Amino acid sequence: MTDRGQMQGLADDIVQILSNNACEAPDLVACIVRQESSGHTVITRRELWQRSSAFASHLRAEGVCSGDPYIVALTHRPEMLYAFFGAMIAGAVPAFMPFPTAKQNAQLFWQTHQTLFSLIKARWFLTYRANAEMAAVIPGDAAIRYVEDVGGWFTEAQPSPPVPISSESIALLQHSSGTTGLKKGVMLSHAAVLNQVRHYAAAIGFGPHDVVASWLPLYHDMGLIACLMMSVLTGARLILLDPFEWVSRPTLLLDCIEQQRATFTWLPNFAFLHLVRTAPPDRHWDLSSMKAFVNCSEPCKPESFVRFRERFDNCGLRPDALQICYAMAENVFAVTQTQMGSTPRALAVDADALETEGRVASPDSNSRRVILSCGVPITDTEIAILDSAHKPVTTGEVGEIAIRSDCLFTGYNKRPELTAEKLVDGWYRTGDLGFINGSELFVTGRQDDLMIIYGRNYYAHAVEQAASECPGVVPGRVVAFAVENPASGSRDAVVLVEDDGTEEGRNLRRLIKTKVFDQLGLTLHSVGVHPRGTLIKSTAGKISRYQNKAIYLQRTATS
Amino acid sequence: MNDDMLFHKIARIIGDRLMIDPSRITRETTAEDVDGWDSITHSLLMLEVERQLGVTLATEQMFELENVGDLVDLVAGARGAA
Repeated sequence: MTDRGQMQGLADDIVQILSNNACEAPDLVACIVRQESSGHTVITRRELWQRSSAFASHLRAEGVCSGDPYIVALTHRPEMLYAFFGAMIAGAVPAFMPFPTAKQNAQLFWQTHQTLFSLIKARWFLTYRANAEMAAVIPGDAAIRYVEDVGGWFTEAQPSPPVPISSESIALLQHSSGTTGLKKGVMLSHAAVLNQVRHYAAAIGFGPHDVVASWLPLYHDMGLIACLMMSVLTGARLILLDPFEWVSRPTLLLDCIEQQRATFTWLPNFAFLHLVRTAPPDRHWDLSSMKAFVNCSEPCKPESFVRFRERFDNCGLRPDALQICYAMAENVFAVTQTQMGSTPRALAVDADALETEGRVASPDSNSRRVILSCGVPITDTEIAILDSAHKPVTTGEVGEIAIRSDCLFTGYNKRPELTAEKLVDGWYRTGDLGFINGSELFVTGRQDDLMIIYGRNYYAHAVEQAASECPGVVPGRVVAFAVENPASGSRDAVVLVEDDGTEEGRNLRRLIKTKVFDQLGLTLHSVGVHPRGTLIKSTAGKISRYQNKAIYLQRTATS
Repeated sequence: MNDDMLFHKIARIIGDRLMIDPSRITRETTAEDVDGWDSITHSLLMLEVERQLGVTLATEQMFELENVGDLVDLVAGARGAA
């Protein structure tokens, strides 16, 4: 075992901390990976370090160099963790990547990644043989390895000197989800990740005695940072469930909390209701160990908390256990967090004034919307609310949320123009809209066409692009938007198109749903097919999302 | 319960969950044919099928179904194996 020689508190890179943890308490459990098919795998700190280090030594022997992107497209199994940290130990820059589900067209899915892989000059890939379609789109000089062929890499180390790592070097890449062509690769340095973990742990009182239960995919910042990194770097224990298994058996999470006496879990808003809707009424779980169920990644709805509390109040749920975090990959993870030990503050505002004028006003009886606070910034993170000229608004007014911190991303990988647009004078312009009230942040919506569906981000223009490629659609006559779904606690994606009247357009609904799913992994709630000239254009001559959505909502309300 | 009865039972469960007339559902119906049939709704449906029909379905198989007919066959197989 290599001792990189510094105490955890003084370590300035992730690899040092992994090594230190393994040295100080090698037999403590770092992670338990639970899989329906393969059972539980317990990973101690020593195993995590040794197997990751062994993998790293093979990567160096393969020719992987410091700074090389290393793409890991695996399911929630131990090898996923060893490969990720192994790449980091080897000085490479690991990135988890989702891959197509059994029902997606793998060829089409990977085609959408070709531009990305070429741009970032990705040369190193690790996946399963079943995912071999990936090979068709990777650049000519790239090496794709299959876990089935490199099992020995996790157990038998080769002689390999330690790779020097600086705190400012890039530790990992997080790729945005749901965007065709060019996913944004958020570059995070070791220093940024460690600052975030330190500040966020302080904000929620998180430490080595905590136990995290999570089903969240690790290619998503909430799974990767709040669950994996927070646990591994503070010495807490992570119980990792498979996302697919959780979706089909949601109460696995509650079983896991009860059995492992878990203390934290992070969930998108819809997951609170998915648990409520699937927990049999006669089942009881002991949830008294839980310090917090943190709602994050999509707007937190007051009704979700009310229903969750009603269902699980008799399970030992603490009165203050339901918490909220506002987070984004560009700040590694958390920007703000509600106060542990308190119930998040709810603010009633005039819904019309907010939605049509972007103004915060006292509600009247006919127009009322309750918004939950996202809390206050974590240490060393500042928030500014900006107007359209990028000047600070008067306190209490709605504007774009901008952030500055010591855990901000380095930039978007190989996208200097996008970095320059979003990262100005040290401030990151989030595109989210919100306001400050009593020093707390309230998030009200988005400035652009981002749709958050089941905690994942999709741009409406990317959905429209995919739909418009279907034969039978009138070119440019497509609109996509999201509508609230109170039952699921999330939003539904809707596409409306104009049909060109040709034979090709006969199965447009199915064609469009399949195409969008294959390319983006997004299941459209519905596709409306209309005759030419039906969709409304704005005064600028573009199809109006706002007006077409309003008409759609009127029609569905009366049907 | 024969396959036909099983199909009608499953069609009713789908109709109730997705608020559509069960008579619109055939063995060839796919998730793409029905508004709102996404992965979360699919899991709610599968849990309801398991509860009402007293079977346990493998997660992997649940997400590989091509159409309602596949679901009927999967449930019939699970009932036969029980």
